[in-house]
Amino acid sequence: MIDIHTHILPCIDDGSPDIETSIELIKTEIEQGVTDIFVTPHYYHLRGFISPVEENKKLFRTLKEEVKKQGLEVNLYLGTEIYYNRKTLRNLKNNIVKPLGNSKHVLIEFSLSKEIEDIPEAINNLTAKGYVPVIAHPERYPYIKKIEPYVYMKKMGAKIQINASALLGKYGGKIKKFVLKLIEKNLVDFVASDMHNFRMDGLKDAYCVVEKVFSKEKAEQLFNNRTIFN
Amino acid sequence: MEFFEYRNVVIEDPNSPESEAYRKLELNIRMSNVDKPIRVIQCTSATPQDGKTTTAINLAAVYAEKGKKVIIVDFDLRRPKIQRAFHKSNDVGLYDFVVDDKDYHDLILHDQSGIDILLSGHRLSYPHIVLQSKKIQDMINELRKEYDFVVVDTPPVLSVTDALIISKIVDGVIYVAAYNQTKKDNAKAGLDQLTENGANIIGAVLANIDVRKSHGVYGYYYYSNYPSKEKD
Repeated sequence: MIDIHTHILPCIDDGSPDIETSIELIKTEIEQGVTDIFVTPHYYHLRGFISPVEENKKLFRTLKEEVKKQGLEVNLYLGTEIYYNRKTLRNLKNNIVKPLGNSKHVLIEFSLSKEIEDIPEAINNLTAKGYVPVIAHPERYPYIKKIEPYVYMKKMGAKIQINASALLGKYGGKIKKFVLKLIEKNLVDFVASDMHNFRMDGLKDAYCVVEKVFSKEKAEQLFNNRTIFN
Repeated sequence: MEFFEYRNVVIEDPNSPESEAYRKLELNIRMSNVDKPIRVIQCTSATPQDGKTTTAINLAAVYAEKGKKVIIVDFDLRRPKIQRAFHKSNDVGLYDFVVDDKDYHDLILHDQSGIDILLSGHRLSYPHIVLQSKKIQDMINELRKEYDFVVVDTPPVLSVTDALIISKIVDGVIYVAAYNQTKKDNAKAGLDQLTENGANIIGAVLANIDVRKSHGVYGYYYYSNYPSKEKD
């Protein structure tokens, strides 16, 4: 499996607090069947998460060395989970935040409470610059409750990443049902863990849910989507 | 969350009846003002989503098609849309000109259609004050010298005062109403506000007609020389 959204880089955001925890989280991922992990620390000004890429790279190197030392079989890639605002394009240009690994995919999140930033505008601006926006856990945004916005987001060139927790009913039965509907309509591109130190991933169980409700092929498509490397 | 799509039929479907209607619009603007050519044109409407931006981009495309040097300026600083119509990133534009004093020439985007574009850029505070500034007026006057035609998109008349402010610095206003959508009272109220402010309304466009169902009404109906001084 490929996990495109994790907070396992230590000491950066509300994810892993230290390198020991990071290693434990990576071990958990491997047990779940993950082979490739995108390390995506928050860049979220209002929450005080403003560590730039250069700083993250130093920690990322340290983490990779530790993974190698411990003989863990996993590929790591650096990215950012970017809270989108008007400075995002400039921050991408100035290497304050970065796409996922060496791809053109950019993981962006929006407010979890109310509609502040204009999502279609964000998609327009990013795609116009050649990026592929990946909308992080839109099922958690209370202001997107219908299928139609997903159809438009996809049509505009965005990809959709939902959290494994949603498929496990951790955000409630209503959201689980809605997410299954989205999958049925081919509106989801990735399922990821969004793993923090306190939120264990559940990717394996979520995979089983998709396999049971739909098919193994569908589960592979969502949990092992290699287009993320493009 | 607003999802909308703009079709520039003049570029995408140049042989369609819709694109022909925009060519007719251009012809009518030209013929109705032979002695005093209209070169800075504002597109506005009474209410949102009546078709003003679609009219603006298609009219600009007709000028480009004719080999004219044309620029479209997004003066809808509150809900800018031109970037969406041309799929451009709205990261540079009028904001940089007004706030950071950048040379507006460096902010103009050159679209492959031949249309130049000046976007809004980041959101400006107090757009109505910015639009009244000498800086904006001077820029429009410079653009008038540099381009054959300047097409200006603005917010709807009944929403904010911006469209009325801009109507004073353009040569003429195209007033757009959407068939089966714009409420008659709103259309009339918007028109009254423009005329009361002395806008030179050079015509109107009735948009949103499905030409395949219109039985002889061709896409966009246009009437020129609206008596803008009627109330005087």
